[in-house]
Amino acid sequence: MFFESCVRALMLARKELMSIATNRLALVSLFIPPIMQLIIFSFAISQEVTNARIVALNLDVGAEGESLMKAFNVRPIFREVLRVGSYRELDEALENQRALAGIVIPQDFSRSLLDPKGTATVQITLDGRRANASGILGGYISQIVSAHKVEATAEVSTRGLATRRWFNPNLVARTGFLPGLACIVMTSVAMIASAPLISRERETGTFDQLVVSPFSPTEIVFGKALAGLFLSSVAAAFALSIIVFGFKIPLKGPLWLFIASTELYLTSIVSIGLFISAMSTTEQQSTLGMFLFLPPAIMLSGFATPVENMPQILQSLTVINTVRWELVVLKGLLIRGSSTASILPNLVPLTAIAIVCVTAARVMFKRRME
Amino acid sequence: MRGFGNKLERLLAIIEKEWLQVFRDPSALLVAFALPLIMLFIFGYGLSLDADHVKVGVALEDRSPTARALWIAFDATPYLSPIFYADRGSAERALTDGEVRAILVASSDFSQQFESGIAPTVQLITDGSETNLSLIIEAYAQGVYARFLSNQGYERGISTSNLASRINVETQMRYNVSRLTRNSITPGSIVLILAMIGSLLTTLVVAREWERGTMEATLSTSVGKFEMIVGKLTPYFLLGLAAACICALVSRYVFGVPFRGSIFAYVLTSSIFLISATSQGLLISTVCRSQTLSSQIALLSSFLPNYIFSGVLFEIDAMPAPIRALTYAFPARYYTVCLQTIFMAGDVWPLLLRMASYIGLIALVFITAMIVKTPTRLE
Repeated sequence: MFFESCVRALMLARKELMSIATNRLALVSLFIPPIMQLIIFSFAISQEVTNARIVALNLDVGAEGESLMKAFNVRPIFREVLRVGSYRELDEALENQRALAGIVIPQDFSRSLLDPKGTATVQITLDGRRANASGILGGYISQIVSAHKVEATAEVSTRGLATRRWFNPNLVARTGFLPGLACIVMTSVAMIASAPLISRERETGTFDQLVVSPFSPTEIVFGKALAGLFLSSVAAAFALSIIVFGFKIPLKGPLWLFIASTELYLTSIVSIGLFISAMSTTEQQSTLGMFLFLPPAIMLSGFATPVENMPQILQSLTVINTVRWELVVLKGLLIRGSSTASILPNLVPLTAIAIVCVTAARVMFKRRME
Repeated sequence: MRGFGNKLERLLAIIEKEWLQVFRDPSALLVAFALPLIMLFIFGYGLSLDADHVKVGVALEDRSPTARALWIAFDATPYLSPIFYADRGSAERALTDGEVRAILVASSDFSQQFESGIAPTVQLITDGSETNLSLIIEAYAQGVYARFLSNQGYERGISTSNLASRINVETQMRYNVSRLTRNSITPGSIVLILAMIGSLLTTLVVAREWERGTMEATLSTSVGKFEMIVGKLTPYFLLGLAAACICALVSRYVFGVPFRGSIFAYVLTSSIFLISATSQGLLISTVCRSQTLSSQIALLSSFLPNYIFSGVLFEIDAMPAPIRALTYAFPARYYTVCLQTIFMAGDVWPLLLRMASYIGLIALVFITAMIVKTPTRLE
């Protein structure tokens, strides 16, 4: 009895895959754009501040001002130092975002430094519209300015704080973001493949045929879940191969755990997709559900902004965010080489969500049938 | 004159028909009113680059008063939450397992070495897989350590350059004196929300008509391309504009982001952006003719590209040149500049008009493509 059910679910999954395979355009657009996005964004993604444009107003006529100006020829932090002749021009350049930061070297700059005990003051104006980037840039500029005239007699203490970075010593942004990008790609495919599975049948009217067929609701839900799981597994295999073989991010954890956790994760996303699909009466509604789930789930996963930065309430809410747990697992297995014992607890919420959503999808499905 | 009257009549009829359709399917209204609210709240509170309470493991193998003072110094800062480990090995394991973002190791001979002044005495190891956070932790930890040193009676800490430098630096952040990154990120969230809503609203419209067969019915009438496109865009454009207004109100009154520009500038730039977003959705829909396919493409083309290329969380200047060139094709990039300027700086017209005209240009490309792709008769 159970065995027959399994066979029927598999047959239904086969039918789903065949109907997708016949539509060449849909198949291509399911896999190609996400994979292309993975590749393009892996080159694009960076939170570093480099290649910035700054504007400088040098009011000093002496040699010191000019020598400080030269100190800003630091690549790759600065791309261009725009020189202006008046405060008005400086303000205008900042206002129109021709520069991220402005530097003013005062009139008495050389004179103050000529005096062996004298100090000079340099003003830095940052564009607060891009608070994070300009704040970081301001730090760089003030370091350069401060280091420019360091008293030779300064005693450098040896009681230092030695810093090292593990896993990614040069802090290459791509290494840090690739697991997250791969995760987004497989999540998108799993969602896109599963969210229309039931609602499309309703829209085209084949739902009634499905209901009168000998399939039980459980078989239908499982069959559709299997189809979604298969498609998203293919995408995941592509995405993860690209980052492991193409971008040489080493797999440090055990392979079986890597595969098992990925499949478990995809199952949880597919079941969320099916739940959305079972709730919707039209395709428009399931698309809406997809838009409602995917962007917040990705943005609150710790992909670009750490989960720790969120307020406590929102952090507790991310317990149900499957993407967050998968990101911890992927980063742990791919970059840090976390121990199996530390990975396993992250799989608990994934399993719980998969079970809850599949059950809910089945309940919704059954209710719609009656 | 009669011809124009007829055109206008047909246009109004289509707008009325679409409008009725919007109100009959509550999901479109949900998209326009509930979605922006939910997303703005989530993004407004959830997206932050200001790290605080970062978990840092502190391995104190030495139990001397000096080592305890080090712990107290790290415990005192709100930015870092130290977690105690008795030895180096367990702290390193915690870092590998991702339980902490960095570890600070004071070895068993810490106080001895500290007194004798042999360098270096304390080690900080950060998790390099969190690239941005790594840098932030390093900066915080250096600051805390310098303060610890000065509390211990060592006047000159590690960053001697600052103290010894003869050039003072006065830094001021214009438009955002309190340096709140939320003020920059919230307008960026609006960009993302409107980009998604705009294309989501329209993407299913034409595809649905093709699937249901009502497109054939419309095509058999005397409706022209222009009336068809404008008629379909108008209701969704207006819904998007309503969403934009909700976003502005929430940002101003809930998140406390200043609104220094004029409402006129906000509505103008938002309108141009929404024309581009809704026509992008409609174009996808016109080309795909299938709801499943067009919703796929709408999701893929509106979320990630706008998220990464808008310049809110990721730095466009730091991207390699070919990709930087690619970002120019995305209206989100220009609209972000407009909104950040309108919210924080005010009406900087030269900048706003330049950005708005770029968005307008992209919208024009979408509309032209749509005119080409919209059939006037059945094939």
